[in-house]
Amino acid sequence: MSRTIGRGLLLLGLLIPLVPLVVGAAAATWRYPALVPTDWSLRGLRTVASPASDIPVGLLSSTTIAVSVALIASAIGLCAGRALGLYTFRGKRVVQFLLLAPVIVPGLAVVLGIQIVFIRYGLADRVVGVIVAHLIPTTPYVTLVMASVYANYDVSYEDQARVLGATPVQVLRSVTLPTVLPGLAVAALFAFLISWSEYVLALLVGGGSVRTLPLLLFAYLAGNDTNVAAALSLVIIFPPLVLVAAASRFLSGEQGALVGFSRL
Amino acid sequence: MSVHGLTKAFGTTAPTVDQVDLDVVPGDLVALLGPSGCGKTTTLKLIAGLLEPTSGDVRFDRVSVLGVPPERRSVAMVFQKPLLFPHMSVGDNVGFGLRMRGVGHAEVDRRVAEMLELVQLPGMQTRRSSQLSGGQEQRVALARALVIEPDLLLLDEPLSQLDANLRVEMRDLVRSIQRAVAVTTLFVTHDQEEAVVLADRIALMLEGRVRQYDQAEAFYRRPATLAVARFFGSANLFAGVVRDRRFLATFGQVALAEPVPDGPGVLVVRQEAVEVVSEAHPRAFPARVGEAKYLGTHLRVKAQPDGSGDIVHLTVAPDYRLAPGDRIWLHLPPNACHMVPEEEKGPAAGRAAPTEVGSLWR
Repeated sequence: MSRTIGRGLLLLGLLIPLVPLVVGAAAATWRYPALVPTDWSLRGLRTVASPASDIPVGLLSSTTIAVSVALIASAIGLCAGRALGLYTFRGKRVVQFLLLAPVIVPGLAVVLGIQIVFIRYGLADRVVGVIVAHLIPTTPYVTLVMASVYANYDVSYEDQARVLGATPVQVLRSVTLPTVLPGLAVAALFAFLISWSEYVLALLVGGGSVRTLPLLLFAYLAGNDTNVAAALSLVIIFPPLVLVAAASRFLSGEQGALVGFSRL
Repeated sequence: MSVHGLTKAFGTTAPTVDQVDLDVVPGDLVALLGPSGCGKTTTLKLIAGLLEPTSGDVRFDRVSVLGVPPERRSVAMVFQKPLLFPHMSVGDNVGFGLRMRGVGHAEVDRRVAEMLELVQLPGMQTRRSSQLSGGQEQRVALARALVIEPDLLLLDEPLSQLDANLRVEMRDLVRSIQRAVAVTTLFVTHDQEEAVVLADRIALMLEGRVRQYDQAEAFYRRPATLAVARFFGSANLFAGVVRDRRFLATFGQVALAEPVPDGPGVLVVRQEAVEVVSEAHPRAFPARVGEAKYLGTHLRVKAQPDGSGDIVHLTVAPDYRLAPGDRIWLHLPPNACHMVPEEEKGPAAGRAAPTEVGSLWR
């Protein structure tokens, strides 16, 4: 009974902040003393759905960037996490610290430094540049998650597969990857979410020509168009919600990986 | 399968595996016996190809397999832990090796079913490994290794994590399966009894070296060194000297059945072989019972020969009425006596020095 109430309160706490967004997305005028909008309109939602607006373009570039970042960061984190989780080597602590550094150092400080380099190498104002920039905060997360997954991983499974006749590639495909997949999925989801909602790096590296959804959202907010901003917020929230729901479904029952994950 | 001068050193310390020679007759089950940390598992991994030796050679059918990766060596290995792939069903686990070799579905299914029957787990294909008991898991692991029909089966203490009763049961199963499929097998164990019961031949490994490679009986009757005798639980180890095929101990002379060069040595006598005889026996020596323990099937006795610091361990039938302080006459039958060289460190465990013995009995 008390458990149900607890869950209900938790759900309520998560949903209440979304209510003004939903209402706002359908409100034409909604000013201070009024508790509910005085005037309703579908303009915001129509703008968001309209191909003429810049939102479909933003959706495309945000998706391209976040998916690429999730894939690349996962690939790097898979290897780096294995090295950190399984082996001891000279300079391991230094590597661990350097990995944490982007998490500690503010993104703004980083971007001001790298922007000069990006301009020199032609990465500024381009989608590729934003992807590279987003790898800076995401790779550490993925690597740390994978390191803890590998810390719980028994390499003897790979030896076992080899003596049963699996080539190194077959071992990777049919033993290693399936075993670490749940952890990798969580890590990739992290990377996707970070990239999806990132603003500062996208603004400065993208230089206005790469327009991701958070950039558009801030533009509408700056233009005081709360109606479209609220509608756009819903668009931004939707994909992560679906992904998190899918991941938690996929991961339930995969105890092994979650044990490693809970170690973080 | 044979191994020549196989050596593996990790870093700069003494080699883990040191000049190991081993020659396994096809179809035999050889036990690689030794205490933990003696290099048994490393030897197995060198043969499997999971490690590359520092020096020496591994040959299958007289052809060196050095540099051949494990998946092309026609070996299968079962580890201490079952290591069933957790994301696969039992059937997929057993069929793993076949699928890796590109064997067709129908064929895989047929051979998996066959193997599961052989390890007495018929129809378990769809189970998850988490639904199995420890013994079942290890049987699946065995089936998974055998299904690829390896030329050599390597077992790395596969029974050590099972409880005692199950271990005996599994031991018999392993033996009968090994006989049935006639696969050459190398079985690593630290359990002397397991090795004796299972193996056609035993290779005893101590500190990285094979000290003796022989049939089980030889380890009891003719241990090669003092360390081998100790490992096989010989309690009667007497330091002394050999003169003219006679062993001079602190308690008397013992005739030796086998020719032994003169000089200091250690006499090994199994405690089961020591005889209690009457005073009239020509070769008997007197002793006093120090301790007699009733163990149901037999009586374990420690006796001290007169005028000697040695303790003779013996077992006698349980109806012998022996109590501490009793006077008995003991005889060491020549064919049960075996000489081993002294250890380099000197006489065993601070017993009387051979020179003293010599002067006492000259």
